[in-house]
Amino acid sequence: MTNTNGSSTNGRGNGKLEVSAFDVMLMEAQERGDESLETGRYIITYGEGLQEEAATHFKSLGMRTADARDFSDQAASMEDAGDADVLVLPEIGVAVISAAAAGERNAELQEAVTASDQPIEAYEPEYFAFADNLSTDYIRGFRRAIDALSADALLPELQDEDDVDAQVLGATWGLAACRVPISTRSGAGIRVAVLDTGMAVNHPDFVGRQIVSQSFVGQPVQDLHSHGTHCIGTACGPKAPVGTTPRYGVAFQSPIFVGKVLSNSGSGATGGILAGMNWAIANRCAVISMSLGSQTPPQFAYTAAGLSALSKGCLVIAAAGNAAKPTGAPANSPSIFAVASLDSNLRPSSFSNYGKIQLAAPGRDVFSSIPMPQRYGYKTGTSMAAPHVAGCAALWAQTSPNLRGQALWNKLLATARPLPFPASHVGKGLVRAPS
Amino acid sequence: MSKTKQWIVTLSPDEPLHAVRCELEAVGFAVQEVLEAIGVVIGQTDEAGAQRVRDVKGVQAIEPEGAVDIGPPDRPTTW
Repeated sequence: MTNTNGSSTNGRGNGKLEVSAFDVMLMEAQERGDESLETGRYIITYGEGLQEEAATHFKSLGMRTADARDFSDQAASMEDAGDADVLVLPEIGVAVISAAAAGERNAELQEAVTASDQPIEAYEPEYFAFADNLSTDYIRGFRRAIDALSADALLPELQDEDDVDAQVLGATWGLAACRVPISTRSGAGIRVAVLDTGMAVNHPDFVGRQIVSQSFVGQPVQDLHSHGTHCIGTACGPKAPVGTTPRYGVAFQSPIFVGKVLSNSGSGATGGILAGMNWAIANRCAVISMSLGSQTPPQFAYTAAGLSALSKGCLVIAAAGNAAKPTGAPANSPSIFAVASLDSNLRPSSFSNYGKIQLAAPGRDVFSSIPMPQRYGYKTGTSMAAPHVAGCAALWAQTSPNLRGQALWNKLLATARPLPFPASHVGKGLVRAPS
Repeated sequence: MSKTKQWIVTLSPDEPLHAVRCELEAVGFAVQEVLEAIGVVIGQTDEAGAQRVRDVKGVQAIEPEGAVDIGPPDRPTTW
């Protein structure tokens, strides 16, 4: 009898794993393997106002009878009925026959249905019923798992296609993955600001480009670090670098706004960074790329700056950070577009921060420009992913004067290639350039 | 008396910037830079001054200036 309480808890709610009579029936049904969904119990429907006759009839068959009216508020179920063979539910004119009794009395009960002098109208097997949300949740979960597995299986194949693009068109793996080589857009007329360690303004790959620069750290804009020149190369590098050098830059005709907010040693302060953002917004740069940050909670001033940017048709794109921790500032501000890093197999980079992420982009082993005399080099980090998104944003902005600020933000999300990883790690997926 | 340091003050976009700036100076905040496009003022004061700044009408937030460091050029991963 103590086990009967299982019907009201069913192992739910109290966190205990009780085995209810229902669970036992389900296990037995699964062992039978007949897929009928029959519980083994039977339901008898008797004629209206005939419950007394029905009760008498069950007794005449030698069946032990329980009546719902004997329970408080008639809250009775078969599990509460102890060793009774039949539970009468007079309110609905139904009786439930235990599996054991049904097995013993099956022939007599079947016969009673057809006999005109018996109160029984129907004698039917009881079936398992499952809540809809339970089964749909289960199916949805199953579907997700299948989607993830199939996408995983397809990933190497898709990657091979992109590699072919890269080979044919002579572009870095990152540009190929973002479908930049096949884009007809150049970023012409779309101002791209890169707030970083400055730029090697004498770099031969940028001869003839429209470059506006400003330092906020008390040092000349000339980049003696290399980080800024590398990020600018990815966002705005040339369409066809000299010789056999692969294409590594996205928005090859965008005017470049170089804001030096980090010193040549790579350090800076939020005041200078905010001053750089202010400058870029005042100059109406449609795209502002920031491959910098710190592992701090969202900063109010960054959030305000991001909002100001959006209200003036500018979009601030920031690197999430490389600590394998929650997204750092400024990328963690709700008004700033956060970018995570992908490896060349299009999986999230192990170092990439997570949590508040809008999109993911190539960040591992990224080839781009660095100061002379080296000219080119590889770097790794979300710092390299953000300028891929910035460059693609410039290409999208070029497709329509309406794609600015929040509209541009939305467009980047809507056109991303979904990836089979959690949104907390890749956001809406891999950034894609317009065709 | 606590030490003077650098602060970032974020202003409400609804208040006239010039008026708020005057108020900030009136409570002892040494304004160094006004970033009009983003509604931010950078300046110096001590902890008690920062508390007074918080109460100025039109101030949304005051935060100590933070440092950012992406490391030297040869670091395998930067930011």
